[in-house]
Amino acid sequence: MTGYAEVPRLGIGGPVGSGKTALIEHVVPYLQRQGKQVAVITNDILTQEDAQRLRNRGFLSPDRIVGVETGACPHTVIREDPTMNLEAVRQLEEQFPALDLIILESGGDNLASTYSPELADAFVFVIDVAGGDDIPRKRGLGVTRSDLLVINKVDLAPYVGANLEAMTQDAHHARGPRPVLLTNCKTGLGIQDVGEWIERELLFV
Amino acid sequence: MDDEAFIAALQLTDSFFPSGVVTLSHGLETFLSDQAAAIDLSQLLHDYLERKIAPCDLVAYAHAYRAAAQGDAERLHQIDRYLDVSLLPQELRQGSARSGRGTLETLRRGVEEPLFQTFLAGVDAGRSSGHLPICLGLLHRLWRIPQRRGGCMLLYAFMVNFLSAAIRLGCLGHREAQGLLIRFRPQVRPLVERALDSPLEEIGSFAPLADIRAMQHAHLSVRLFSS
Repeated sequence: MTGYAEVPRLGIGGPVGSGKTALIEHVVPYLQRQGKQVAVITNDILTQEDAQRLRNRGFLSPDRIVGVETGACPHTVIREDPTMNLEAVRQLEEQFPALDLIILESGGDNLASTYSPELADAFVFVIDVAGGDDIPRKRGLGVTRSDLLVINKVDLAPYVGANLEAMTQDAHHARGPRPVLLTNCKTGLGIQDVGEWIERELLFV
Repeated sequence: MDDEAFIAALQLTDSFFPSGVVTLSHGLETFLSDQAAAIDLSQLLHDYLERKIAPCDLVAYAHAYRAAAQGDAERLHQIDRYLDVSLLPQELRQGSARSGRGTLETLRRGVEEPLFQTFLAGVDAGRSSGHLPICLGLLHRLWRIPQRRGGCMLLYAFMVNFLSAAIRLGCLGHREAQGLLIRFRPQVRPLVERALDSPLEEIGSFAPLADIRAMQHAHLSVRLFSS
């Protein structure tokens, strides 16, 4: 053992543009209001862009947001070879011994992406209604294996011809007892539910 | 090499082994970001092998192998620090250290040999960074992989990493890459033999263009790779 306390780690994955960064922008302030200390590792093509977007929001000090490049393989660095993410985790744990949670945001990826259980203790998969209401029926590993499935941008359903009710039912059908939550990151709808799930499942509140 | 050592060699060289090198492009991403620059990938790979990897990483590897043969953890740290100050561009130095450290972490619970655990404890304590060539020298010796073969593995793994990055950056096809690996085969052994005979004090690289590209990489606004 390295001698450092291991901080719980939450993966947040999902297709490009589904709202992973937006979810983090809302959930982290929620957790901070509950007195929790959080750091974020982002994996993206434009690694500095996502990290910069979070830094510009100002709710986390810049040194608590770390960008890790993926070498054009977003799924590889969270699953088959998470070495560089684990190195970033180790350095954050060294630098901030009082952290309660480290969030690892994946780069936008396909529906089959999952996290190595040695990288993340649990992972959230974020999809959105505008990406197509048939996504749950495709039964990708992200949909079926994630610990929490978030369906984001629920307000857009009528505008993109998505049947939210059927989408939610399909998601429950594909996932069995695993939870599904609905969010609208623009208004904050459902954010508290996600925050409470994180507290319950990872922080044992 | 006995069969068990051969299988160990396959395990360490296979890109399935998680060492994080998938995120490294060794400055290649900067070369390709410059639309005006014409790149001869074959020449570039040759220069990297001849001027950087063989005279630097491979020399450190060979000395680490010998230190491991003598069971000398202190010497391993010394060589590790030597390599650290020989890698000038920050991202190349970090990439080498992080992938070595990652290799150690991957095997933390799987390798019980006292020398490995002593070296790992030293890296944990900050005695040295745990650069990849040092970790490989140690592991190859512990797993009875002959030094010259291990040196060939190190160069081969670099070529695969470099060409794989080129493919992912869209400037090389998969068949061309295999063709280059075939063409470069005869170049590997002489480079390894020269490196195995080099004193540690002569470690160093001279590839100014590659180093400048590697330094410029830190300032790219769009980055897929960490080097």
